[in-house]
Amino acid sequence: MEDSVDLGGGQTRMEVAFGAGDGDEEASAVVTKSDTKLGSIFNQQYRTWEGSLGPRWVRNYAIYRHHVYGLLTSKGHRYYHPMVRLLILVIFIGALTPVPMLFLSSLLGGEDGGFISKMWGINRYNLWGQVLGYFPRNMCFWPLLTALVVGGMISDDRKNGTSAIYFSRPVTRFDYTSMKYLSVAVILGFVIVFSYFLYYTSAIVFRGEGWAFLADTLPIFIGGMIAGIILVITYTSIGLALSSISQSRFFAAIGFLSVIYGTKLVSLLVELQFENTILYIISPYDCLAHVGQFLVGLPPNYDHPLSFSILSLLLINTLSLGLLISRVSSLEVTRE
Amino acid sequence: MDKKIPTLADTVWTRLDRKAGAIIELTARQLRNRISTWVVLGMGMALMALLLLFYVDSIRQSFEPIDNDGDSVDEDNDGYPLGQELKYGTSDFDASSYPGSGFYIPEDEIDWNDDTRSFYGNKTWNGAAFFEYEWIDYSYSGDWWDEIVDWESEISTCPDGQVFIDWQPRYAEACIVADDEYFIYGKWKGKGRATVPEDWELRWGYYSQSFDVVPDPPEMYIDEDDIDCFDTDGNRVDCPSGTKLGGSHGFDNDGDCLRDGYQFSENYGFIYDYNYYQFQDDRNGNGVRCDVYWYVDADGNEVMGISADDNVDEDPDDERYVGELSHRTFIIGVGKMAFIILLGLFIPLFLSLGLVRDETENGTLHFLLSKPIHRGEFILYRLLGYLAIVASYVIVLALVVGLITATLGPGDQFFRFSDLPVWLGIGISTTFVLAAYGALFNTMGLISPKYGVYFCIIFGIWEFMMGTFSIINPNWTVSSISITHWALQMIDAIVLMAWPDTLQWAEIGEAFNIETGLSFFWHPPVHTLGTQSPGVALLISTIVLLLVSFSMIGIGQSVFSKREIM
Amino acid sequence: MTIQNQPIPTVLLDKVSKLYGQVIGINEVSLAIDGGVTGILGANGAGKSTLFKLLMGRLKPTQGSVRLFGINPWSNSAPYRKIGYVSESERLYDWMTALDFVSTLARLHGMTRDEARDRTEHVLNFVGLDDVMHKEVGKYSKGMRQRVKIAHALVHDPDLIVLDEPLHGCDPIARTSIMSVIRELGNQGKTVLVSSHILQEIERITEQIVIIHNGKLLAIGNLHAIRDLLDNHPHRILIKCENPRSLAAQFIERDPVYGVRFPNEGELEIQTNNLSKAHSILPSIILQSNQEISSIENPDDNLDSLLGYLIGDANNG
Repeated sequence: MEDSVDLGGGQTRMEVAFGAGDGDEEASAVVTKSDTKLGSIFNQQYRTWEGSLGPRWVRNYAIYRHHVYGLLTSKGHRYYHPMVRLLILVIFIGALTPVPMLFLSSLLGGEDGGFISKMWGINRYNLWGQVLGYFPRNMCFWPLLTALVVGGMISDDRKNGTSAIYFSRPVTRFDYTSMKYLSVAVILGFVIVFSYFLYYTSAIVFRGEGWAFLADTLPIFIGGMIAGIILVITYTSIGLALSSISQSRFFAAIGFLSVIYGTKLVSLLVELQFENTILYIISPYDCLAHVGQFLVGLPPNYDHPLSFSILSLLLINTLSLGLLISRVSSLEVTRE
Repeated sequence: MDKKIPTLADTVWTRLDRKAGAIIELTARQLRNRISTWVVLGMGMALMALLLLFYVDSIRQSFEPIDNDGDSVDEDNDGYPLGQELKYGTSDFDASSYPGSGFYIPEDEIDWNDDTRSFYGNKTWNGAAFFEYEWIDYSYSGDWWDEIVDWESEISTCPDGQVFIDWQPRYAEACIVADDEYFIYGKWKGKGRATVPEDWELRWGYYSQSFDVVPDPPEMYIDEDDIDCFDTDGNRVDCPSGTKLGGSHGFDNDGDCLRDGYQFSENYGFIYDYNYYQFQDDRNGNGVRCDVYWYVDADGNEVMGISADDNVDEDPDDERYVGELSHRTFIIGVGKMAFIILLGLFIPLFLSLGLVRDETENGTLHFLLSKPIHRGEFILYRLLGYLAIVASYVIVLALVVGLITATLGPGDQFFRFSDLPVWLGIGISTTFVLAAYGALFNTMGLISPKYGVYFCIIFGIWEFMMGTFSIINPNWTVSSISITHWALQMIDAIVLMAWPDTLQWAEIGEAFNIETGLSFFWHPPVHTLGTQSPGVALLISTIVLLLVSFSMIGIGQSVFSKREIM
Repeated sequence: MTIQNQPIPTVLLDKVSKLYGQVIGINEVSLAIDGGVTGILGANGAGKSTLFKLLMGRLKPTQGSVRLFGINPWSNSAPYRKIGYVSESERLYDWMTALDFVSTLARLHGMTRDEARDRTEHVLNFVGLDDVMHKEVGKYSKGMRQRVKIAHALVHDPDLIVLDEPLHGCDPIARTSIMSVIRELGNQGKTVLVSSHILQEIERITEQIVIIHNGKLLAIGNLHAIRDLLDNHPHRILIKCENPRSLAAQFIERDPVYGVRFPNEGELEIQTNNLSKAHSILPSIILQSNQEISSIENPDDNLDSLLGYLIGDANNG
């Protein structure tokens, strides 16, 4: 009787479709175990669920928490590769290098301290550089950070079919996407914006600065912070869009790096060759740097008007979000 | 199935050959069937198209002559461009100083130790003095840097007491001593008797007669001082000179070094020498005024450096020099940045990491490994299959870009055949990089299926950084611990082999303000074992890249052949 | 199973153990197989795939030695010339046609393109895929995919064919045709190893079986002989219930039960020589007794559990 359906086991279809079994399980349906042998018809009865649903934000917060807490402990939360966690830590510590330097300068005082505080102290250039400096922050740190965090965000769900875990529950695709977005943005924001904040406050604390200093530098600081937030938003948008179109975390990560580096290098090549900075509008980093220079009040490095960079940033974000939304809304609830 | 009787052709080699063929073909077809391959290769093509767009655009406009030394401007709007003002030694920041304008000639002075402390005359004075005036030019404006007493503001009575002891006048200040006497500290023009207080000084002179000079049109100062080279007989020839490479060349065509029209004072030399402290008409110190000295190496066949006196050959004909130089810079820049760093790094990251690893994950490896094929062989053939696609891609891409730019490029000939070896070299260097990275990433994926990808990402960033540094300064030792560095060296060497005069062009570009970026993108190859020969550098770089590739394949195969496959 | 003398058997395992860290995959298995179809039986996780992977040189034995045609297959691809292997892996190159797939793999045996094509057409015909061989594998049903895998294993006319769960996931028609292919191979005098966790599948192919359980070799030889041996082996069933004595009364009346025991308070041990039959009467007796049963166990952990699995499947299936 090879043609009988194996009704045993009591596994759900979900487990069959998404479980990480060795493939030896037979497909099975959610039915009571039957003692009939020749066949029978099961009456499926559907009843409306009468429980009360928690508020939407609680459900969404659970998704958010799942992703963010995963960085600290993978027990019951999203799994981040130990390498990813280590690198994020290294990048965060790397981003905080000015803090011990400022501490050192306050300890040393005198000429050495003066030199250190000139190199790492608070001024327009350093505040801009803390977030938008190309080397090492935007050449090594931020793109790597984004690539690592964003790589598997959606592509893992596509690969493993785990999006079904969300979509089989009262979670809309919008909630799913926006919470993923928020999680990535918060992780990036923690490293990028929070380290910037720490840098500024530690400068005030270590050097015992007063109100006058605060009044002088606060607008610059806020400008830099806005630039940092725009950077986080832009990188998150691009990264998640790439993650949503790829099937492996690696492809998304490399895709992100190649977008950031590729556009930067090509526009640099064009600038060096043809003395034309217009192509920098295709480079997300340079658009951010240009806008950042405006926000912090630095003279721009670019010849083209600021509005081009702003427009380009808007366009990059819109395109990325559009791609992300269209991909997520057409995401199949299966293992792809 | 009947057993085949081995024919003569059916040797071990042909069997190996067939296996290789099968796996290479399989790999190539596999890559062809992946969307990501086409996305990556398509992006590469889009990148080249973009660069070509800019290239074509620049071809269209960049042969408008460029004012390399910037002397066609007229900063002070006096109608005379900077070049012409330079010739006469007048200032381009002062509208009152222009070719033919009267200029100040100093005559004499009373300094702090002279006995006679007063002088009478109709002069332009500069210093401190009690001045019993007959006439004062209240509208005198002096030179652009002078501070002039502001006669229009109210001049008050001098305070009592001794100058300098009891009260201290500031420069450009005057006060009334008596009805027809001022105390003045500053510059002024007037007739009368000046009496200088103790410990103070006063200089005086007069303005020369002005004469008419017809302003030159600014265009005259564009491309006005071409690079001049001479042969042994002293005849002007194209640069670099064939018979006399080293030695004194150059001619100050526009006269802004020789300065024949300069207004000259017997006592004081060049009077208005605005650039006095910077300007040297024998900067290269070879004893010849206003020439260009070409240094050559010991055999006398290679230019090691070019040193020009100031303002000599500083505004060459762009059609001849900028065109050629920027064309070469374009090829080198595209070869290094677009081909080696971008394509060379990102194509393998996308395509080679999973060559064996993905098969393991999918379980399709079982089919391939249940055939009589050594695992090391398998890795090698997989890589060859990947190379078959990407190498043909980069070489074809390089040649297509090469054909387009060789057709459009500058020069008299219809087609620049000398470009093609360089483009081919770029394609081949990129292939070597692709092979080295391919083997490396593949091996990383094999050594650690779990951590390999992360090491690859970090290594990719390292390579990107080192590549950028290697372009800027290939002599930096640290950057040679990277694969890109050696590939960039290959290009440097190939460029020098295909265009041996690049060294001269780079020197010419450097010496004569032709800012095309050649000296940014191209440096003479570093690893020549002291021979300065590009062939040696090419050989060494190739060997290094091949060594990396094969050692990586070796490591990969030794790891893989001991790997248990679940 | 003497190993030293005699001509070299096709497959030879000498006290082979394989440990995955602390987990035992295969435990001291000694085996010599030559000629004909042999079924490897065992539950999921019994070690069938591990055994095959050891044979195919995918894994290195922790102890003991593996020989195929007298050659150690670990890190030596020489024996593969004469071996065809169908792995349990489900993934194929979906974008390739069956013809391309099999002929590409055939070329890895050193065949020319034309030879490979001829042989491929031949084996695809043999497994019954000749009419669809120009279709992409991705569009195939599961049974067809299994047959493609078998075709690839046969393309070089091997002497030893190892099939890991070839019937897994196939529909009845595919099963029948695959089984007939395997039988045909056995009839050609080749050594065929087939693994399955379903006894009744193996039954239709061969009578020569090897049973593996928890990594240990349990039985080897003719299927019917083994089955009789197993059936006659005394088995125990331990039932925990409220009133064991009243339940015992009902059991003792029935045929396969030849004894009862009360090892502890609230426990009943039934002794039987036909486990499957005892299990089949168990539910009805329990229902009749109207008692609450807290557990039913088979205390004999080696053969019984396996048999309950294998034979139970054979009877119900």
